[in-house]
Amino acid sequence: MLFFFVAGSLLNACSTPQKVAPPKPTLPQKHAPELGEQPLPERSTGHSPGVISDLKIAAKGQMKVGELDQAFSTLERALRINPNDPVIWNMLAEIQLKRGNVEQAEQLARKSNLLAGKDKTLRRRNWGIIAQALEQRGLAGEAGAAKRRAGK
Amino acid sequence: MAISKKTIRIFLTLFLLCCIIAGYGIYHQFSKFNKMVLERFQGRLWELPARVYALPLALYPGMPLTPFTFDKALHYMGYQRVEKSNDLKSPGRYFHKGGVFNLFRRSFDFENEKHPSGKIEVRIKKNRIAAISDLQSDKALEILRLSPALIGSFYPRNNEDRVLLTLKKVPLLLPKTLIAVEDRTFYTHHGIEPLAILRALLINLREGHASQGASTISQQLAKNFFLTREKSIKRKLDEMFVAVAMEKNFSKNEILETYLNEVYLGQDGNRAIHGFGLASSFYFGKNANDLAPQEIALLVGMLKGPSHYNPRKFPERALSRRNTVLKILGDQGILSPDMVELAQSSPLGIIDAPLKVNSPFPAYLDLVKRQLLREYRESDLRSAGLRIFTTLDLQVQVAAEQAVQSELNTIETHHRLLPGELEAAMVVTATGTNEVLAFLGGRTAQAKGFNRGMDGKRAIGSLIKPAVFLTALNDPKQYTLITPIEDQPITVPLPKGKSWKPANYDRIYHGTIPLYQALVHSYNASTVRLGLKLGLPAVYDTLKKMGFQRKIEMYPASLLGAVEMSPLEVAQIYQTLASGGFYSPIRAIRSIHTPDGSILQRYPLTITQNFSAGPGYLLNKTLQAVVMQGTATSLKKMVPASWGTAGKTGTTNDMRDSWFAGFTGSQLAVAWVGRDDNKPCGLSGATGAMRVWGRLMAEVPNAPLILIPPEDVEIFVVNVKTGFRTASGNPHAMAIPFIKGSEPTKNVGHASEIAEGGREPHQKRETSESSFMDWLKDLFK
Repeated sequence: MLFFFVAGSLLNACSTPQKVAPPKPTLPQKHAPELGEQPLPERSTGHSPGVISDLKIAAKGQMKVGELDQAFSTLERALRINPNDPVIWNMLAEIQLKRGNVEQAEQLARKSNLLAGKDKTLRRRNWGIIAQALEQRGLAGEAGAAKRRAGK
Repeated sequence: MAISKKTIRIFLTLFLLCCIIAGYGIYHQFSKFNKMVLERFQGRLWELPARVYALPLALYPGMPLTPFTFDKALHYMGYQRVEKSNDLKSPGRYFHKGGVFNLFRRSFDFENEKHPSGKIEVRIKKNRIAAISDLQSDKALEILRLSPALIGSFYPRNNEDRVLLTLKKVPLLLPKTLIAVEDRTFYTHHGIEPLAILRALLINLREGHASQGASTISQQLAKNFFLTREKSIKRKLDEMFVAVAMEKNFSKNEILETYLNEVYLGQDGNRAIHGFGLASSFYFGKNANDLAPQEIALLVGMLKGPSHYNPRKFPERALSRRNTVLKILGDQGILSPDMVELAQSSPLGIIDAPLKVNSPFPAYLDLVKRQLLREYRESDLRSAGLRIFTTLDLQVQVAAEQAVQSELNTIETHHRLLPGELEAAMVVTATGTNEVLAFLGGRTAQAKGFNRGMDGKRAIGSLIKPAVFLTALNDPKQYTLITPIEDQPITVPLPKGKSWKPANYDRIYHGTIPLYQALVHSYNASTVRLGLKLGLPAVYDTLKKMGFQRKIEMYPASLLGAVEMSPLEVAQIYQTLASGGFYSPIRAIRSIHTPDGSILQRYPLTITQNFSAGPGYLLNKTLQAVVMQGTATSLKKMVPASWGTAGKTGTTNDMRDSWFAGFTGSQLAVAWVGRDDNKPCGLSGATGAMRVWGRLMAEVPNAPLILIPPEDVEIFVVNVKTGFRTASGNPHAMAIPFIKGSEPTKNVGHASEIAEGGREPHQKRETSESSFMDWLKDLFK
């Protein structure tokens, strides 16, 4: 008895304050399910974007004054919170290039590209790093190809 | 009777001779001690333990955090809970009510980062941080970092423990109090005070034994440093020589600083507490620079007899001694009368004795130590005072312990197992950096002993399957996600006329199926067929590129996981998947610092692309489908489906081992559940380890795994039954990613598909029935 009452009042509570949404237009064609498709998140996933951007700004500052080690650990901190930000990987690549650690510079730039999606500017920057790294390793042919992708 | 001139001359000569001999003797003694002092001070003054720290806990608004976990984390950081918010008077204390935490945070000075101490409020609502504010300025904080928890030490052989201080970094009142109480003329004497010695000598002569000391700070240091504790005239003389030698070679401040670090201030089991730095945290749970006047007074007062005035054992004695010292400070005008009164009326403020275990996280410390011993000698580890910064994340570690304990209890009840029958191990890493955030070597984290996370090598079952499928997908000319493969019983001939007949988990076979389904539903027969076609060496090569480092023999049964690995090794190979085909060595140490804070060694992130982006993407999509549609669907009850978790269950023969390895957008975890005696425990990957995995991940911050198709990947709608492209409306239509050029070229409308497709599928059951069966299977697993 009580259950029905509570359930009924809950239903009421849910339906009364909200306006009835207009029915969604039916899609012309049923959307094909995607392999491993995940629903969109209901809420933000936790980390405030402010934290990541603060860390990136701090790292940029450290890079400017030549504190490359500190900049690298600052970016590692950012990665712990969100490893999917391609800009962080690009900055790590840049640090390694500055240090002359060209192999890591290339790898990190490639990783940044993996996450860059449609960000063409960032992709070009990464290809630029890869080109320089390959050049310094004496791989002129591959460096040329990378340069073309960097749009240079 | 007059003394003849001759006699006087003889006496004078004798006297002179005596003086010369004595002078020479004194000089000789002095040079001997001088040399000793110089030698001692030249080398390392003390054997200093190495200290191992967790990551500084970083809190930010929006971060998932349960009050329970935060409470525990604060406890591990050495914060003391107070009962009333009014008691929040000094650093290292916190007050907690509901979801509101008020903490007096300690000053922070690590790795180029400095913050003063101060009061902070952290509000947790619905297991998330709602707000962080600085209570002094009333400002909201975007991020709060707390000084890292000490998670263990490697002590010197003599068990002396100390935290080094520099005179510059201690409150001025500490040296002032020390001088006022122990040696008022410290800054003016030359190491000894002849008058005081004479006075003591007279008293000692009168009483017939050496009982009265008149030691300056330099003499006390000399005694501690070089000499025995025996009380005799000879030792007293030696002490004076050493004191003068020290004064000759070193400044007053150097002597004072050494004294502050040397003195003995108590005992903790077999660990000797030396110096004011360690004593501050041992007795008050704070840094020396955060000490209040009454606390300084107590520590200085205790010098007279650390065990006699032990404030934990004899609080009244200690209190009266402390107040005597405070009175001296008032009399000498060092503290104002008001301050003396206030300090004298304060309670002792001693924290509970720290836990008598070396580390609350022995398995993690073990991992750190083994990594260190590859590069450092054990004797250096125990004496060079290294500061080792690890990647342990307190929140994740606490949540992992909690998840293992509570889930194992539940599982044992549900499966009618004896309490305590199951064991577990767990590794959690950050997918971006491959740093170990948490590490459990057993069910009870505190129990030392067998470290299952590293040393427990067990068959990994179906956890190996991604290596088989990745090998296939790496060859897009031969394999796509919809390449038809046979899920039919198979007999594999073995040497000596034997044979092996791998069976599917439920002994149901599915005929010709698209490749991805064999992994999504973890079918054994089709996996073995595929693996044998690819060749065992090719699969082993993939395993190696994923980061598996030991040399093993591969057999057909290896394709179903008859390969023994530790949870740590599994984490390493799955990490390569989680990072999109980039290999990074697993790390537990970030950096090592010398005692003065300068950096000795860094362990920065390195990555190597071992798989091209396309195949890695295809595989990860399939591993996401394992959770969305496959063997791990029940995970969705524990963590949000929107996380897009990619994972794989693993169950070994007769249900001896239950495994789950999986990753979200920011974290990877591998969980193992089983019995130490390797007997069956009746758990599948989904009913055992996966529950622990889900329970942990639900409690810690996770970014969703959003896979971005690489440049060479395109998504096509295909009929998964025929393998042809189709319109979206077809009931068997599915959007499947392909490496460009490997997609099916034939485009067929769905009406004519079956007729034209030619490849009539042999599935025994319809899709709807099959998902119902899967659901049933999950229910009864």
